[in-house]
Amino acid sequence: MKIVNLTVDEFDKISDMVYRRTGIRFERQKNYYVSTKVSKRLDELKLEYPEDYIRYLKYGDDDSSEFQAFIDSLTINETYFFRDYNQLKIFAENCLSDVTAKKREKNLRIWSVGCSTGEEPYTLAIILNEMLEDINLFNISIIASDIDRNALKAANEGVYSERSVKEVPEEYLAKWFVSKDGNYHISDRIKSMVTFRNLNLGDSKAIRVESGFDFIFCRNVLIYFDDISRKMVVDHFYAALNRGGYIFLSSGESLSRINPAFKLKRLGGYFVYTKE
Amino acid sequence: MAEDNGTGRADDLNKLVENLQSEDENERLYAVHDLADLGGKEVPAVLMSRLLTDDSDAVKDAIVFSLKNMDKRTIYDSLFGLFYSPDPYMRNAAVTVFGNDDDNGIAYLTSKLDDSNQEVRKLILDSLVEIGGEYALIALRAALHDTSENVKITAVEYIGRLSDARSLDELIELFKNDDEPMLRMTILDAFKKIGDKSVIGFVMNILAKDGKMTGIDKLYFAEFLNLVGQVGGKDEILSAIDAIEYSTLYAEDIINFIMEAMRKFPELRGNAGISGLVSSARNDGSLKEELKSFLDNI
Repeated sequence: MKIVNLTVDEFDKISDMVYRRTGIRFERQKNYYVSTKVSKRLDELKLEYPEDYIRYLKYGDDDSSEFQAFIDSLTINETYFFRDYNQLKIFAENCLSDVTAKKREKNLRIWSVGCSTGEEPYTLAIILNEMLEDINLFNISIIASDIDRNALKAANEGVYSERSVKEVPEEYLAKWFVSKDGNYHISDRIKSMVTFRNLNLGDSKAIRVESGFDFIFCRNVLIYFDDISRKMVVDHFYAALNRGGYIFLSSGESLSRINPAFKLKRLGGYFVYTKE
Repeated sequence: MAEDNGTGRADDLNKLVENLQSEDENERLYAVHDLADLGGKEVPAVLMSRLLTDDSDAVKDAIVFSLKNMDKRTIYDSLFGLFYSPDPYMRNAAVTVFGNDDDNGIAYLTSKLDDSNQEVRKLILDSLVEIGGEYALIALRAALHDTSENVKITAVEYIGRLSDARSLDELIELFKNDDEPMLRMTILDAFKKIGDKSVIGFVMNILAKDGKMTGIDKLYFAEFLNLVGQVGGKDEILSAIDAIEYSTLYAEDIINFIMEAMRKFPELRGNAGISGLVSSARNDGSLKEELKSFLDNI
């Protein structure tokens, strides 16, 4: 495969197109990264120049399938089960009981945003099984969304390498996974608790369909957005979260400057954001 | 077609304005975002009017964020009115929105610099420094002649923050003619950012009775030492070392000064004056241990 080097003008055209349709902003320092991905698409489509590809995206991609394929290649899908264990511990031991104690109805809605290949939502399903004594009495809905369709396909399959399950406690590994052909298959019970959806956070109409959540997990996602898109997305999280619900970002990410209406709460030595 | 589009837009606008009055917080929040997306000259006024009455932090914040990012020339007067609000959130919101404006905002704010309320004049400067740029600096320089000491102090602080070396002569004049201590402290701080070693001699002439470093008014000693450390050449630093009389009160400033001096002139390691000061600090029983630990690096 020949690697093309995007000119500044070509890079700007492509990054603007991505930004307008997804809210994800690629800065010029990412030229090499984007050039590599464009090269792959050129190779696949038997096109020669980046300008051809830009024209193709603009005028020849009626059903947006090529744009989606391009986005799939641009997104990064590195995650694993029980990532950021301490934060999940706070969710399991503090927030979960806080929310369930306050609710009259036995239902729980959780949104895993940017779920990639499914490790996070499946982790949350495992935690619910382990922590809720009367889980069968609950109507549980875990919505897991991502813009990358390839990642979602893998998530639906639920088959993971040893690397993905390295942080899973042994007891849980034995209980919630089936080891087969050197891989780990998530159990049907856990799989049935998660619904995967292809969702572009930059599409303000589409994301408004998602609402009424008790918990939102949005870890390592907001870093891809610029200020304006980030504000739009976070305000939607605010609207989509029930009062008394919690939102989890990755460590080091702050919501206070994006939407001060979220309240910071210290639980078990960890800061979490809640909607009062 | 054009008429249809216009009618469609008007319908959208009316619907969103209606949603903005909804009881439902989420609906209002989405209406703010949709109005910002829709754009148009009526939108800033619609959002501004809601900002004054909404009780939701999320909605108000979304309005402020949206106003920041749109052409707000039509609401300058209402925005300016927020500077008089008893609610600090509203005053800060006005600063944030103006602070993200351009030369139009600077022109408007500059025309208001003669407002009779000194707190308002200070808020104008808060906005100007956020906008930044040459025109904002011209307005900030004008504020150096304000009748209020607080406004002058703010102007000096912001000129320093924007590292405007072209204001140096005006700051020197101000330092000479106005002996208000807080103002002078702030000017000394600004000199660190925009001055050069020539300001040291000038400051000494004003602050030291005998024109020597040893005669520097104690009130300004720490700030002056800091200035010498930042902008002084080797000669000025050596003179300062000779002039320093160790005291616990200024220990932190003296240690910082020595560290800065040695960073700039590594050959000063082993200098007798520095060694004497370090030794005094080490023997100072009331000096905090964390400060003493710095001395190990010298």
